[in-house]
Amino acid sequence: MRGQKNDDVTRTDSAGVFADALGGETLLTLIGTRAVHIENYRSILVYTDSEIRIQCRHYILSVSGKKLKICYYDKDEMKISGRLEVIRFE
Amino acid sequence: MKVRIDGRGMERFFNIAAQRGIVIEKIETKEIPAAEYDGNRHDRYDNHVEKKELEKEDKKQGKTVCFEISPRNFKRLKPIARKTDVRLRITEKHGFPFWLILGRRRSLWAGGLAAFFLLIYLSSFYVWDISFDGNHRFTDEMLLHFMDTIPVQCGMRKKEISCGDLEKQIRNAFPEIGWVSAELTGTRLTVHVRENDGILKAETRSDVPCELTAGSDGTVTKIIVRNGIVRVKAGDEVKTGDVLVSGKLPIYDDSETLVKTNLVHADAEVYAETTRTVAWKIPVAEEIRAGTGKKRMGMFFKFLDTEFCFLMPDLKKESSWELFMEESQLRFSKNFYLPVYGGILAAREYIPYEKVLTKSEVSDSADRYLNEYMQNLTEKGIQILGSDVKIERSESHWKIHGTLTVVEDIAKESPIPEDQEEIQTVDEHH
Repeated sequence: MRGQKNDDVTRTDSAGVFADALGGETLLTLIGTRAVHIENYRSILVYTDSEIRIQCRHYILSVSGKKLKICYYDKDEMKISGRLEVIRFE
Repeated sequence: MKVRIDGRGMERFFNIAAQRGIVIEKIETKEIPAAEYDGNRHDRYDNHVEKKELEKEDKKQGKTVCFEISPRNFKRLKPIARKTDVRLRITEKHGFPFWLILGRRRSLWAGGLAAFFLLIYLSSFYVWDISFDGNHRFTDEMLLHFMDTIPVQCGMRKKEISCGDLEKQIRNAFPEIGWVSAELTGTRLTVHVRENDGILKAETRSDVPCELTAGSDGTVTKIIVRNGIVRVKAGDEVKTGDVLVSGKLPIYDDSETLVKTNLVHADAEVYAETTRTVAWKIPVAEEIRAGTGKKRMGMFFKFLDTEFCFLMPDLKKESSWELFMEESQLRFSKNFYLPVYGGILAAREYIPYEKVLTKSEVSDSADRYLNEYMQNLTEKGIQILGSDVKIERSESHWKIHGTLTVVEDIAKESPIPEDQEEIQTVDEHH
């Protein structure tokens, strides 16, 4: 499972870059307009089916759309699916 | 399991859960019926101000958030829920442990299922079908009837049946069966047999002295003698009981004096033209069943010896019905038969009436009888020269009588009378 990652082992993110090398920057992977994969986030601020606001290290990431759903999440990464319309950094 | 979450600290709840490494999946917003949603809310919150706020929220959203989690992790969520002031409500449970708990409530159902499997298991210790393979001369019924006397029959324990003994007994009882193999597979006993075309018996020639006499009246046409002295010749008229071939062989010396009389077993074929009388009776009228076109369909079940029939609607007693039944046995696989039989019943209503036969119909029927009779004779090796059959009507019957002229072997073995024998021995002494 994605939530069972061991912290002692050096991790690479989905882009094949060492997570530490990014300096804790958030990494977004878009799968068309159907889903988005978010890595290195801090916490969920708001969850509704039309908007999900996520606290990242330096900004707040706001994903708006319709029928938004969190497919899975753990303390480092999450996947949001639904009809994505706007992704905004605040 | 699927959990519904309510409360304002929902996001905080998710964050803490993630920090504690609890895996939550498929978080989605769902619309639920308003009545249910309101009811839940009102029960939960006593605070008037909060209630108002929530009502507003309800109107705005009318939605609830659900997620999926494993039962083990759900227990770990409880302290977090208390801390973040959210309420968790289980909406769906899936998986084997929950299924077992549910099954406990349906104990009768589960008991029935267990009883079903137990019955099948128990029934597998018995034989429920006996079938035969390769039999032509002996019908299944004949062989089954014989096996009943051993006894080997349906409903017996498989342990009690010894295939070896069964094979031996069948072979002893039916000399025409040359090879038997009994096979017990599943709940089925299959008996494979192979029949001989003819029984091979050592020909035993009887040496008991005898003579041949005429079995019926007639005119001798042909004689083939193998042993004995012929007393008649072709063209002679003989009567029943007349000696045809004698079993006494006199031995004379050079002066033509009787020295000894040897008694032999006379053997010959004496063909004679004889007449056979034939007579049958045919009733004046025959019963005919005329169908009315009414039909009833039904089903029947048989378990061991108990039978249930369902015919809809039930047959009326005042009318006559012909019943047809098609039976088949329940089985799980090719060789796993069960003592449950089922089938379809078909009933046809008829009105019986008597039809008076016309002379031509009687004549046809007489011809049919006669042909059958003559065919039987021909199969026995009797040659038919001619027939003279008349049809007469009596009060209640048609009488068919006549004579058949046939050529047949009339020789019949009969013992040589003892008194003659004694006289001969006295003669021998002289």
